[in-house]
Amino acid sequence: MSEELALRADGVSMVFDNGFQALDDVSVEAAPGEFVTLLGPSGCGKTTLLRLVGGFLEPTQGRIWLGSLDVTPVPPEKRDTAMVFQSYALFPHMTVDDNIDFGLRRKKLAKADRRDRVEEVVGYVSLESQRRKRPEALSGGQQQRVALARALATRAGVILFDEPLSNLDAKLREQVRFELRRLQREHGFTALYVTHDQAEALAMSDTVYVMNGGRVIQSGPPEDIYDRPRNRFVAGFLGVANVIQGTVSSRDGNGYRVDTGLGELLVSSNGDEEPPGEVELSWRPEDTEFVDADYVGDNVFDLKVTESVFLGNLIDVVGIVPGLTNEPIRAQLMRHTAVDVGSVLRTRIPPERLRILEPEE
Amino acid sequence: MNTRRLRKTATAYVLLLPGLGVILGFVGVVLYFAFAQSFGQYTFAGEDAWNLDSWRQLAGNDRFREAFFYSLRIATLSAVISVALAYPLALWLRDPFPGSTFAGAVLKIPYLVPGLVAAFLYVNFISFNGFINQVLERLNIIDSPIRMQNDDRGIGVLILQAWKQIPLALLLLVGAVRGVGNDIYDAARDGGAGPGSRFVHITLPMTLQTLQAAMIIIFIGAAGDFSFQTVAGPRGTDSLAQFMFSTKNLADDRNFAAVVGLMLMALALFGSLALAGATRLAVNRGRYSR
Amino acid sequence: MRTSRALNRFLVTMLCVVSIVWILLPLALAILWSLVDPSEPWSYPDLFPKKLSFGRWTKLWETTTLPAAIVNSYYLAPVTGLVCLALATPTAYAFGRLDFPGKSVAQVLSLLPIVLPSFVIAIFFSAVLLRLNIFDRFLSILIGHTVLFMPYAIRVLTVSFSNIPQDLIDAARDMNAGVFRRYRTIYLPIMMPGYAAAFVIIAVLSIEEFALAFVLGAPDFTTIPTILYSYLGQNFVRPNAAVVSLILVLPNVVVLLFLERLLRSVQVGAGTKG
Repeated sequence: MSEELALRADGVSMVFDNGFQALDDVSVEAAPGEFVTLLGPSGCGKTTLLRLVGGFLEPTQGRIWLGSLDVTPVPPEKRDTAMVFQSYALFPHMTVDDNIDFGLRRKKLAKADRRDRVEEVVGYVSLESQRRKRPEALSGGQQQRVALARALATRAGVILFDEPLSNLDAKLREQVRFELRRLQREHGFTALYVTHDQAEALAMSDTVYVMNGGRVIQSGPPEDIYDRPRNRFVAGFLGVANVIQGTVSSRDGNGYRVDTGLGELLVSSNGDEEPPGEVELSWRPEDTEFVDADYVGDNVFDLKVTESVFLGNLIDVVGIVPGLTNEPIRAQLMRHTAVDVGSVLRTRIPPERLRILEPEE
Repeated sequence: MNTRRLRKTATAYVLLLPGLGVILGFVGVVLYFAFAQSFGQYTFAGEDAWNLDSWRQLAGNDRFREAFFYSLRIATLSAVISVALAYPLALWLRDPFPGSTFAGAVLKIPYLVPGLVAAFLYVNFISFNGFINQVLERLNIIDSPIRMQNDDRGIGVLILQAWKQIPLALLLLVGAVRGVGNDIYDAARDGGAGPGSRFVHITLPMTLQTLQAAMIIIFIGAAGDFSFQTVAGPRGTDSLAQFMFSTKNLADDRNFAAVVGLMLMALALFGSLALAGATRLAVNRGRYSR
Repeated sequence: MRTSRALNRFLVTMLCVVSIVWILLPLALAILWSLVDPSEPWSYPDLFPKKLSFGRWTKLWETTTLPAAIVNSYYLAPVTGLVCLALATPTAYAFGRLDFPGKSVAQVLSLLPIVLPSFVIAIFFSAVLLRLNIFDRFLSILIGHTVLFMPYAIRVLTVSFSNIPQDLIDAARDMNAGVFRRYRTIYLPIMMPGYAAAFVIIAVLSIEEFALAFVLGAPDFTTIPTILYSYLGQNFVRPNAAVVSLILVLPNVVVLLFLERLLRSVQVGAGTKG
């Protein structure tokens, strides 16, 4: 039944000895070769789930499948997973080669095979000249690549990543992000990747699971989650979102008219379900359009700029709508447009960009 | 700039005088006396003359040879047994669990019991009409008490050394084992290493320095032991310290006692270093053979 | 997870059983033996002594040199402790707060008295004393103990010194406090726990020390360990040894009361590696 999946965590709950419930009925799956990311703030249970899949913990409830095998009670040393640790967890008393070789020896592979494999993965991560060094002699980025090579060498069915880039500086992180994605595509391994960095999640994943408070809040491809956040938490955790309160006043063709602090807004429907009376609406700052001062139509209001920040590629604008709401509204403009504090911009939000959020649990 | 640094260095050295200076002065004088006495000086009885007479006595002296190898054996076994028993305890106490603080405290009690008291407790326990004999007799396992005190093989001394030194080894090893991160153990498990494999490939090599330090401390202590030996050791064999003492006090040969004392120090120094080296070899061999 | 908890419970139970036989039973037997009444010896067929009393204690107190030995030990110990602290402070300051060439070598050398067999030191130190015509037993043992236990004082105080934030010292200098004033107002209060720990460690070690006390003091200057030694070995006087053992172990029981803090300092003293 689960044969076509590389990994399936099914209704998993985890309660620790001290009574803390880290996971509450969580299900996650990954197809072979898929890059799946668990995204959430610290304490959301993502690392616990990763450790459950790795076998370092045993769930209080639920099963974990690798391929068609139920591995729930199987310890990590007998599980077909390989982990890349946040701290890299390289063996300090072993050379790069011995670190990579460690798992292969435990598998009792023939010496020649082991040598070939070590050589191969050292090539993947371009560490040919560092093979005889100990981890302490390597830079952070190099250590990170050794950790990756060690995991790749085992040819495990699923490779687990526990925030592997969080100890690298910003520039290197971006570079490794691309490299990791490339390696994953080329070698087709299944990846379960834990991070709290939304940019990382969006850039690398095939599927993102957004977690909070021990539950999966929303899952799907990155674009989907970014464009159609389910609730205020997802909207706010992935990038910046404007959220305002409103009351549904009437149905209008495919959408709804909602009374808000910005006046009546027209919203395209996001589903078949009838929204409740009181709703939250959200939209992304970059979806804001600026129109001519005399423009008349739906979803238009005058934004008085209170802050304007030059970001290099963009200009970030914060403003209020005088007379209607004092809640700050965020918008983004392409550069080369001078925006002075105090000026008034005629602003429009396309109805298809507005989203009715579900209430948070 | 340079004079300032010189002055700072000079200040530091002056500050060392009352503490380190006193230690070095004392140890220096004592060691000088040992050397001088071993070469015929400070006889306190007859004429002082620089000579090798006392060193020559070593060659044919069976009692010395016996004492030397006996102390070597006891010291080696004490060090090995203590760390061998302390390792599993240290691994067990590595992560806290309900009762672990209590277990740790109980295990450390012998560390706080003075050596002579330990010796008494032990002798009281195993003596001819001591606890063990009584229990065995009441259970009809034996008909008459067994003589266990002052056994010929020095088992009593070894038990005492282990009793006293396991807590020390445990104290050092728990710290070392805790120093190996959880991630490292997790990574080893992830790579397919079971408990035995993790011990051989991760724990032992990563705690090797502490292991060596513990063995050196225990070896030196056991090599120079006098009180355990005289209370619980074999009657027919001397430890080196015991032999040195009787050479000086009973045979009244200060010069030969000095030779024995120097040999004891040599045993403590080179023996413990050799043991540490052998440990390192064994640990590395274990790592590469499997 | 659950299996390892069950395993731990089993192991803790095992440990309790083993430690009862290994540690508590011997201690209990010592207490029992010290209470055996001198008039009714405890011998084989009896499961318990026929009569318990403090007769042994009073008899030992009245007829032996035990009171003198206790006075000796408990006089020697604090004096050794104070002398050690006074002499070790400058060296510990240099180790804890200064950088100078040869520092690591000096630190290793300061451990010498711990690694040299104390019986050998005792024998040759007695020859040195003989040569110098020093016959004061108390002074001899005091010098010996001071050197023997100085490494502990240096280790503990070095840690104390190095734990003082530089900001505090700079602030004091800023307010023109001189060397001694700085020591009194900044260092001393912060280092009080370190001093206390070092003092207690050294006092306890001095009370327990046998080799030097035996070689330098016997037969006319007795300490508690040398008395105990005389009741062990060839002429094993069991009830007497039990009484003296309990007296000797007493300070350690006191130490046990603030075990945690002390063990941490001992660990600093015993661990020569980081």
